[in-house]
Amino acid sequence: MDQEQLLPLLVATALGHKAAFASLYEHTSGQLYAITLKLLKRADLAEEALQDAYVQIWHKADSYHRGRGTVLTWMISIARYRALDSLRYHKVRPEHSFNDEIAAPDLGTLGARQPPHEKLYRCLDELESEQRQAICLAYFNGLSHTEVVKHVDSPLGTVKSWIRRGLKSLQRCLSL
Amino acid sequence: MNYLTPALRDALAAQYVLGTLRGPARQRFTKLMMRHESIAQATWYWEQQLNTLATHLEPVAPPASTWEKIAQRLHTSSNVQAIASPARSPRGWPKVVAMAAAVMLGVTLWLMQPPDTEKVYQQLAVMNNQQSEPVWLIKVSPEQMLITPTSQLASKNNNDYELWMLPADGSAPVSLGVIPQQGELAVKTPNLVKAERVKALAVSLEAVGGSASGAPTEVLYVASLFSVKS
Repeated sequence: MDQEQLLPLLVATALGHKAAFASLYEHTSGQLYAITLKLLKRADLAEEALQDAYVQIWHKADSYHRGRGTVLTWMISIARYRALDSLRYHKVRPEHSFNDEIAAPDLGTLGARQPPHEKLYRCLDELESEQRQAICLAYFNGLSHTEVVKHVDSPLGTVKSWIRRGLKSLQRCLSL
Repeated sequence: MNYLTPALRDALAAQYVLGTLRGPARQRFTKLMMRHESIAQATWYWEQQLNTLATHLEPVAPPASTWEKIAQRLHTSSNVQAIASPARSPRGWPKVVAMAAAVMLGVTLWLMQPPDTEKVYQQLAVMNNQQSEPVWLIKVSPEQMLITPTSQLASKNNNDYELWMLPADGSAPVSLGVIPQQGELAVKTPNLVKAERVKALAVSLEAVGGSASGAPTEVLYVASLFSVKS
């Protein structure tokens, strides 16, 4: 569902229409659950974060405006921050998962139903591969700087600099 | 004062969204965001950009019970009703959410219009049921309308009552919103009422949350507004 379809649902949600909120949930919960699950790796915590996110979305619907991005990226922000909080609170990050489950997603095969066309992907492609990998590990798996260090086996200073410079290059590329 | 340079602001915003800004630094950044619009805007920019990454993850259906848990959490009362899943029927919503919304509306309107013990009511309407018992009392002062249900009002768990003005010129009814089934509701007196251009008031029975069409669904009570003899 795109912005044109989600926005009327969010507007109606802000006005207190429960049917619209149910429909918004129906159309977006799979996307948001995929995100909280990838970050938290535990179904119970991922579901809890998802619940929290939708309770917040219900209460904060009227604070959405176009400056905050699309309805979907705004909702993703809420779900991601909630999952990141949970990650820190529960400190769920068993060591073995570094090798088994965590892999920086290949941008071409994100499980995408359609090839990503956003400028962001082109800009990510232009980054050095270490920068791209470090940013993706942090974004999708919620790894901290030190956790990225364990995963890629490079010094902390190097990892921090990959992420910092990678983001800076991204911003430059996106602004062109 | 915003002491961050644009470069530092953008860098911190990006790491905040990415999730690598942590601990006290994250908390400090959250405060800065609330204080400075430019910092909030930088954060929104990165949310918009980076979160397009997650829009391409393959969706995973959450457990079927998740929706019910969310609906229950938005339902503050203990008498939990059966809640339909969104795919089957979006209507099975708990009434307390709607009542809370109605109360919120009341609170908002009330805050807009601080109570005044010296109110002088100039118009009145009394709505009766079929047994000629009064069910709604409506008092109008130049500042506020006070809407009170009596004990004769039938409680509706799965519906809301909505108040309407019927303009004297015969135009379409104008909603004054969902009205609570108990307690007094004070709303700011609409200009139409002040100008005495309202023929009558009506209360309709609606699905929870009020009329979706903008017109009354089932009108239950109608009463004229009368001036008080002075």
